Amino acid sequence: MERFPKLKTGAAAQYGAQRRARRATQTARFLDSSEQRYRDFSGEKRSWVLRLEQLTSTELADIRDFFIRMRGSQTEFELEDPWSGSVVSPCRFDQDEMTDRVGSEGSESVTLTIRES
Amino acid sequence: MLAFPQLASGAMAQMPFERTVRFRSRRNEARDGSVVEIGDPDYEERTWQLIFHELSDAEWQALADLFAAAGGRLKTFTFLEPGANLLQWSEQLAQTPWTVAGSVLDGQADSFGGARGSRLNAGSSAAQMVAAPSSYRYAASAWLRTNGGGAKLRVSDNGAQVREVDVDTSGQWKRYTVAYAATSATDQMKLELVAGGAALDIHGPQFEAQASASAYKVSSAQGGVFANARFDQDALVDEATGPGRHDTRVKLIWTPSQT
Repeated sequence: MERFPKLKTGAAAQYGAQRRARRATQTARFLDSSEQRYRDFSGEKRSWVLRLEQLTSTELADIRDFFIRMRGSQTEFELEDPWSGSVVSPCRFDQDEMTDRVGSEGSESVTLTIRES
Repeated sequence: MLAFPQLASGAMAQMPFERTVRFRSRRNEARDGSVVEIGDPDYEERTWQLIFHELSDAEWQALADLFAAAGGRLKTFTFLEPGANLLQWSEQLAQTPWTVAGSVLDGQADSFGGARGSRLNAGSSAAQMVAAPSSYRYAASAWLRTNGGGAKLRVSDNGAQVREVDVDTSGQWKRYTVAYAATSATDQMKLELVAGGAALDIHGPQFEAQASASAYKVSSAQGGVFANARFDQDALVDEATGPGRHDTRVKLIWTPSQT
């Protein structure tokens, strides 16, 4: 399984990144004000929003080429969690579209959302 | 060959421009967290939004002529993505469409300290043809190192127009570039890496439709040549800002599953 590419510095992400852990708890409230809670699914579902700015065109090409090889959300891959350094697998892109604005060298930027699948 | 024109500078576009790659899939998440995902394996779409300022009369006329010849959105033409690596599989020389005479090994040491390079054995060569107008300007580049004489980075129109540079024998990584500009009508460009008396280490071969080489960009199955691109508009607006000065916006689309 392929791994999401690192930046030229070896970093997995830049500041401004977001990590999200989602759980699903349902609550049923009764007339006597008591309530009952239960989980829709066990564990948590993690996702990451990576905002990458001031990329070189080489770094952007690596990420874009990876997105194309994964065909957006269609293929699973490994991600090194930028917070913990642990490898999370399998993950997918949470998007089928990637738009980038090509400008002068070192000014490229892109935002990607990745989720644990 | 019907192709999107180059500007007088040799550039394919002005910066900044926007590009999008799009796939198609459907996802259904149930309440228990289970997910059903279906991807459309055939659908792929690329779009480019190019904004041009201060085009000369000749540059504008070339664009207008292409728009007329294509009939707006009706017919296809070749588009060379600005700044992109026109080669396919830039880090896997054992892949088609590279043609290797002799032997090549991928996954070798590269100039960045990784293992994304290739090694061409002594006396071998690797070449790739690019279906692109041979009258345009191009820049080829690659990091190369060898200890033996006779190694070359070569660009040609697959005919008489040949430009090449010799690789020195210092055994040190160095980025070599070759610029190509010629009057030719073969409409086939060829990049060739030739090993001489010793093995040639290669990293990041790149071929671009512009006057000089830019930073390296990796490429896979689809390089920067889009043979069946279309205009995604049926009107081309010429905003005259002065004598011999034209502004316009162009939207292009490439959908291989639908052309």
